[in-house]
Amino acid sequence: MYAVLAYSVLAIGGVFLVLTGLIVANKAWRESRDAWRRTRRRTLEPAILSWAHGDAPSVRPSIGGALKRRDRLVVEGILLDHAQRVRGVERERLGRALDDLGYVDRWIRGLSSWRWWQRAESAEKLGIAGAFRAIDRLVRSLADDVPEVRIRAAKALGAVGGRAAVAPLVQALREPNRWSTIRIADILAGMRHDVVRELMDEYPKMNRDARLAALDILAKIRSLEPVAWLEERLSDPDRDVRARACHALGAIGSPDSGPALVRALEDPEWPVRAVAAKGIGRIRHAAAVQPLCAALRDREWWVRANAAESLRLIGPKGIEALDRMLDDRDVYARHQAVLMLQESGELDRQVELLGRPDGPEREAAEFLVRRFVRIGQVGRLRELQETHRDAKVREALAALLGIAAAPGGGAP
Amino acid sequence: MVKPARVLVADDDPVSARFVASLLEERGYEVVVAGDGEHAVDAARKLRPDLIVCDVVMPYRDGFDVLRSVRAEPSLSSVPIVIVSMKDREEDIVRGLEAGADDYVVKPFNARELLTRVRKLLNRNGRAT
Amino acid sequence: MSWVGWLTEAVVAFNVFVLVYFLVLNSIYLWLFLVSLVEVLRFVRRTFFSDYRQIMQSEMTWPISVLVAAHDEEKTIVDTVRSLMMVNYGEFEIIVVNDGSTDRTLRRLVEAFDLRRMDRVYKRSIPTEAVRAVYGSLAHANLLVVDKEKGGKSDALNAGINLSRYPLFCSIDADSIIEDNALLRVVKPFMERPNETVAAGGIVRIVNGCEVRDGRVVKIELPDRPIPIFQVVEYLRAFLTGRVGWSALQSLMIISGAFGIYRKQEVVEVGGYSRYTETEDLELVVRLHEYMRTRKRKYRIVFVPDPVCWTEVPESLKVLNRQRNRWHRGLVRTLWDNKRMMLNPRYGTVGMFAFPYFFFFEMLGPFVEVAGYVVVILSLLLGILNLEFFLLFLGIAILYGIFLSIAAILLEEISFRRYPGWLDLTKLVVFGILENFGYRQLNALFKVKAFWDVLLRRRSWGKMERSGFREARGAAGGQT
Repeated sequence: MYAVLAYSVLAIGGVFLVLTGLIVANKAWRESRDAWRRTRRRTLEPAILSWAHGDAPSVRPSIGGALKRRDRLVVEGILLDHAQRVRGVERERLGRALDDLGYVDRWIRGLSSWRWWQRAESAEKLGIAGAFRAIDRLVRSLADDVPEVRIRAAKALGAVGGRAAVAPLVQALREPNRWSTIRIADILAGMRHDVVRELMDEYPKMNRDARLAALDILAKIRSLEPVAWLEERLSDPDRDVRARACHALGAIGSPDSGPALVRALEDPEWPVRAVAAKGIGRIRHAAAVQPLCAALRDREWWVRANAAESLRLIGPKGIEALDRMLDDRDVYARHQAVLMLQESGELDRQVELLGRPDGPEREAAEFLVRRFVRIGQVGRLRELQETHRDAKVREALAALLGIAAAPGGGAP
Repeated sequence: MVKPARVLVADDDPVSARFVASLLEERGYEVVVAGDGEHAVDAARKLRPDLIVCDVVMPYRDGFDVLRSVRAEPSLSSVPIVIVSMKDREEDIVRGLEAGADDYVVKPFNARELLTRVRKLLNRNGRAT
Repeated sequence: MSWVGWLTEAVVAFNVFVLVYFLVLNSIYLWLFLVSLVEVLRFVRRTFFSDYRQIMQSEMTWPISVLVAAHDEEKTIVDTVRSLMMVNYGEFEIIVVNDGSTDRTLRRLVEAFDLRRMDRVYKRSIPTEAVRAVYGSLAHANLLVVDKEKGGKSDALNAGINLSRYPLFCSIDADSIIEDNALLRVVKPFMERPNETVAAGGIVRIVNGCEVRDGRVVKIELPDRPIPIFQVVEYLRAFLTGRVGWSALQSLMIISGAFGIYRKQEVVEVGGYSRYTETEDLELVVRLHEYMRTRKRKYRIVFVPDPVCWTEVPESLKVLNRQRNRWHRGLVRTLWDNKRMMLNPRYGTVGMFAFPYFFFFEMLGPFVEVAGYVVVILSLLLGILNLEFFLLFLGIAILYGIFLSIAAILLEEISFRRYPGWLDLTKLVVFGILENFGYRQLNALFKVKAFWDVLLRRRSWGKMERSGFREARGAAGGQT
């Protein structure tokens, strides 16, 4: 029994000591290494930067001749840090230095490492370096087994840029993993106009997810080129395609797409109607006031909310329409109009006018307030009646609300 | 000999700050670096720089805040200010320029372009390199 | 046989039971630690280069409704909302639910954000206490303040869910400090597996001792006082070696109420947060498991081993006792309500593994521990103490405890390293050792007392008093 006791205590105690030792050793090693690197960096960084700002051909003299083994990571850190933060000549020079000192070759080899994080890291760094000659190799990495590597490779291709990178990225939109699709889509959207043609050409060959992503990318790039093509997508049998196309048209904001979006307000699927309603607001299509009012009676909240918001964005004509909707027979439409008139501050602005002497402005304001009272949406009006700083406004509101005016007071 | 123009660089990213500093020092400017908005305003008051290069997203006080404080100071109201920011949307740029910045450069920036802008602003204010 | 003989037999039998119990429990801990080690290492690699900034700018991330339940928070609520507005995320709305505050919480919000009443009509998917008014702001279109009758934290959150617009919601405590990238970090599982992920949480850190400015942590330091430091070690262990492991086994039982993202649809389907518990965070997750497994739907509840928020922990034993009492009562209650999951193969790993673990070790563990101490003292008095056994028991219990704490600190050191100084590290290790001499026993006592309270008040469970929000913090479910 004593032996068991002794061994158990010793064993656990031993493990504990080993763990503590590991923690301490790990920290000590890391800290001393970092300290050394910081010192080294302080010496090397100004020299390297000074080289980057100038036009001397080789970086080697500024790091003291050939790259020393112990400086490898420090120099790499300096070059990568700055290459990420600049564009133009200096980035090219930093990228060239990375190639010159053998880093690019090293990373291209790293793309075939058996450890996935090494592959991911290499891809990322090649992108930062803008290593043009690694494009083919990076394209191959778009088919890596690990999603993280695929994303890094895509990102690198996006950073290196150029037409050679666009086509494989568009192909890669077929990715089964949604996260990588999103990331690749973002990268493509960042490459802007190079991409538009390629997306439209490749679209028929894409699977569903890729098509949706393609529509989203066009929405982000906001080029006018695909507007007519997008309008054709509004008759696609897939409701998500129609919705994304509406979204893209709204985002691009071409005034020409108004009629197409108004037609989409009649779509049998509510997500399409909702996005169409929103899109009309984004392009401020004033001719759509009537259909938007109809959309205020939709059974789906999102459609109503977006339609109301769009009416507000359209401006005075839209606000007027919202006013009128307060008398609508449809309760949903009324509620939506109430909310939008409040959220836009319109109700408050009108209440302000109650303090004015008699006149058409004041009459219009009273008319609006009466409508609110009639449909019973008086929360904000009561609040204003209690807190408004102008006694005249408070009185007028009290009369309209049919309650006794609060004596004295004002805003607390 | 003409005293070199003094430039205040406010950026919470030390790497970026070091880059801009070295870029400007290379051209003979005197550079002071501030790591956050509060230090930037202090430094601007104390050192009276001839030009300020300012990041937008910074701890404590952001670039717009710095801009307002500096502009509110009578002795500093005419110091040229260049905003350098990652925010590249149209509305951000408009907001920056309307808040009183003299120029807006999007990160990652073009080093030589930044230099030229700085030089032109300094020349306009009658400071030679 | 004399009564002493019987008693001796009983004590020996109990001793053996305790020994076996401890060995099993600690083996589970060890195993969880190993699972976590693998997971954390993998995760750290993955975030070696983080591209949160690009994700933030993406229009393709899902919008989130952030729900803040506030009761008598006049001192902090405006700062909380301000710091929430600074969070890095594409599209999100903030819904503050003022749960019948008796102080000036609502007033402060109205003044700070220029709020005005909105006559808003909405669908009451989950029944709640009456909503008095809904406020919106012209200047901050994504802020909504709901004023309602007092109904407790769960009720407030449910009201927030009713008024939220987006498919995902994030519930946070009014006094927790959210990391800038928290939403981005925790939304990732939803983006990766949009059809399966129903809930996700992250690591909660302790803010005591840290320097906070304008609603964000600017300098990380350990607390000065011993009680919070013990809890730092405890939290490291619970989050880094506990939840990471459980999540990997697809049976995470808790997402801290301080920060969690859920898919609204499923939460509404299960009827929202329960009003009859004081640990609504634990209860909801268990019920989601129950619901999804019963319906044989494919789902995931995920723990992201990345720090997301900071919370304040009790500084005094009295408050600590109250908090642990509440957590433990909540645990007992939730396990009791869902007892059909126990060892039920229908509920997969949750029913066969996580649930029994929580039942036998989390819930009854403190009992066994305290009973162990009592028996030791009893045998000492009776003169039948087996010194060998006593030392063996003590040695294993304490050394294992130390081992687990040190292991958690090691995980922190290889992953996040949020406590940079040597002094901090030394402190953590020392307190990881000291914890086993007093703090741990005290916690066990608190929990036994809580269990006792539950037994005494069993019949009045239905209308268990709802405590305030103030201590409704952090990581329900002690050890792991």
